Amino acid sequence: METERQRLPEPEDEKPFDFQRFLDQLRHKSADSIARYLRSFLAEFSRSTWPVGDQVRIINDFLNFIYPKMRQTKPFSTLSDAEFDNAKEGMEKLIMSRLYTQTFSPAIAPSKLDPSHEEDLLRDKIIDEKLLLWSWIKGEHLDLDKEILNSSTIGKRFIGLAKKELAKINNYRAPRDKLICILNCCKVIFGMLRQLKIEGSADKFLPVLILIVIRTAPEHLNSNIQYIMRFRSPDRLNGEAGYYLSSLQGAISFIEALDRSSLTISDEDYEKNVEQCVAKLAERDKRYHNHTRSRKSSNASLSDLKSRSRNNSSASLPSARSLTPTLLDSAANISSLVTSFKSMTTKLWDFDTSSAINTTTDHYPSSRTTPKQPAMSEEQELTPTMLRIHELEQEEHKQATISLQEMFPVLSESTISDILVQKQDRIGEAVDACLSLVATSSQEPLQERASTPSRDGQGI
Amino acid sequence: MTTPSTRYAQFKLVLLGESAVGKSSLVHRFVKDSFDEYRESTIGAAFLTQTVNVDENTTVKFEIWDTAGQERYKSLAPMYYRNANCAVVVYDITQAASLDRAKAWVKELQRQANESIVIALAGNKLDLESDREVDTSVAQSYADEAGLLFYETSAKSGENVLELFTGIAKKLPIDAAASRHRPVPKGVDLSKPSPSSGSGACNC
Repeated sequence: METERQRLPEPEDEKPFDFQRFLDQLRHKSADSIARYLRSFLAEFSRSTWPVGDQVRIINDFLNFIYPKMRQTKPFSTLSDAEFDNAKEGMEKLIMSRLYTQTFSPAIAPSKLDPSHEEDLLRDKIIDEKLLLWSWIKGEHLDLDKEILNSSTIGKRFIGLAKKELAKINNYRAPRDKLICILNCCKVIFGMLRQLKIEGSADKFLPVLILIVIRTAPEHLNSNIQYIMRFRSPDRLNGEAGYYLSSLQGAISFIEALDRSSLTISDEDYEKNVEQCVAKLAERDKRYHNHTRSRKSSNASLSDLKSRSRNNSSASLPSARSLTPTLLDSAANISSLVTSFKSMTTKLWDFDTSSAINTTTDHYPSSRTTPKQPAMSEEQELTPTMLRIHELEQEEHKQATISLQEMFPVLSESTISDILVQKQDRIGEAVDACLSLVATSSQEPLQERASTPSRDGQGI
Repeated sequence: MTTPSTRYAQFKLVLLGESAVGKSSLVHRFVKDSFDEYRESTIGAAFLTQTVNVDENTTVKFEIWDTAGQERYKSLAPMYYRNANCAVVVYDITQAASLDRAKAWVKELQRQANESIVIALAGNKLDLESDREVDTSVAQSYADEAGLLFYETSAKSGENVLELFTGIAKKLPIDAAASRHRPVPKGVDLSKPSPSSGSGACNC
C-alpha cells in the first residue's frame, strides 16, 4: 500500500478536501480581514464585464495576493501545510462558485458575453451536433477489445458508471470539482481495463473514453474544458488530472473531426447508420417545432432537441439520467433557485448562507444541506427541493454501492459502502481503493465470481 | 521515494509510436524494474511517474504520458506533447514500417513541440533479434542526423530500458528546472512556480 502510494502520481487529495472546514475558518472572527478582501474583490469583479484573458489574470492575481495574506492571518496561520492547502483549494472553489455566472460561458448572461465566451458556446454547439450525429457509434466501430464488447456485467457496469461520472460535470461550479468528474470517469475506465485484464495503455483507454463521451454527450463539453483550463490553479493541472483532461480534449477533437475513415465499419453499415440518424434527427426536429416552448438561451433549440433525444434513448442507458427524471429536474432547478436566492442575500455576505448554498450546489449536491437559511420566501421551495436532492444522493450512494459490488464481488457490501462514505462518494477514488484492496487481499480471478456474497447477508 | 538530494527536477515525458511496438510495455518495464515491491495494481495506467537517479546528488522524476498509437488517433498527439520536456519515440526493430512512422513523429515533434524537447528514439523488441528488419547502423545514423538519443531496447528482458531513461535524464536542463520544482510537500509553495495561468504552464 505504501509503496503504491509513493509510486502513484500525487493523489488529487491525500486527505479529502473539506470545503466546509475552509468556510468555518473563513468565518472565524480573526479572519475578518480576509473576508473583507474577498468581498470587495468579488464586488469589484462583478462591477464590469471582462474579456476572458483579463478574468483569468485578475482572479489569478487576487489568489496570489490573498494566499500569503491568509498565511499570516489566524486561523490560517496556524494550519499545517496540508491544512493550508485545503484552505487554498477552498478559496479557489469559493471564488469560482461566486463568479461562475461571469466566467463559465454557458452561465453568462447573453449581454455580457465576451467574444471568447461566444466562441466557447459556438464550439459547444458544434460538438453537440457532432455528438448527436455520431450517437449510433458502437464499441466495435472504434475497435474496442472484444472483452469489453462481449461485455460481461462488469464491462457494462463500469461503462455505466464512467458515463455517470462524466455526466456530473455540469452539476458543479468549481473548476476543481468539474475536473474531478473527468478524473473519476477516467479512473473508472482504467478500473474496467484492469478488471477485464486488458493492458492499461493509452491505446486501450482512449477508444473507451471516446465511446463514453459519445454515449454520455454531456452539454457544454468545450466550455467546461476551457473553464477548467482557465481557472483551475495551473499547478493542479499537472499530473494525472492533466493527463485525463488532455485525453478528454483528445476525445472531443476526435469526435469533431470524425468521418467514415475514423471508424472500422463497412460502407453499407456506415451509410445505413448515418441515414437513420439523420432521419431520426429530422423527425425530432419536426416534433420539436410542434411543441416549441420559449427558451431564454439562443441555442435552446439544439439543447432542447438534444436533451429530448437523450431522454428517448435513456431507457437503455443505466445512467443517472434514467433514474428519475423528476429528481434530475429538481437538481437542475436548484441552481436557478439558488441563484435567485443568492442574489437576495449577496448584500449580506452571510457565510452561513453562502456556505450552505455553495456546498449544496457545487459539491455533493445535497449531503450537507440541512438548510439553516434565514426564513425567506424561497425557503418553502428550497426545502422540498433539497429534500428530493437528498433522496437523489442517497439513491446515488446506493447505486454506486451496487455498481462497485458488481465490479468487485469479492468485497462485501458493507466494505464498499464504507469505502464510498470514506471517499465521499468519489467514484474514482473508491475504485482505486477497491482495486488496491482486491489486489492485496485476493489472488483469485475477480471478474467471474458470483455477485453479492455480502458479509452481513443484507440484501441491497 | 525521492529522498531529497541536492538536485531534483520533474519533467514531462511523452511516449509516441505505433500500437504494436511495445511502448507501454517499455514504460511498464521501466517503472517495474526500479521497484522491488512492484504491484500489479499500477500496471493499468497510461499515466505513470518514475524517478531515476542520474548521479548521487541528482534525481529526476518523469511524468510519463502514454499516447494512443493507432493511426486514427495520430492527430490527437499535440494535446499530449504540449509542454513536454522530452519524448521517447518507439519503433519495433522487427517492423521496418514502424521506423518510418517513428520518423514522422520525430519530424512532427521537431516542428511543433517545445523547442528544447529532448527526443530519444527507441528500437524495441531487441529480444527478437532473429526477426530483425531494421539494422542498428541504419537507425543509428538516422538518429545522429536528426539529433536524437538512440537506444535499442527490450521491454521483455529489460535490456537498455533504464539506460534509455537515464540517458534522457542526463540531457535535460535539470538546474533550470530544479529551481522551479522543489521537492517540498506538494502544493504549499506560496510563491507560485508558474504565474501564468495559461494551459499547462508547468514545466513537468
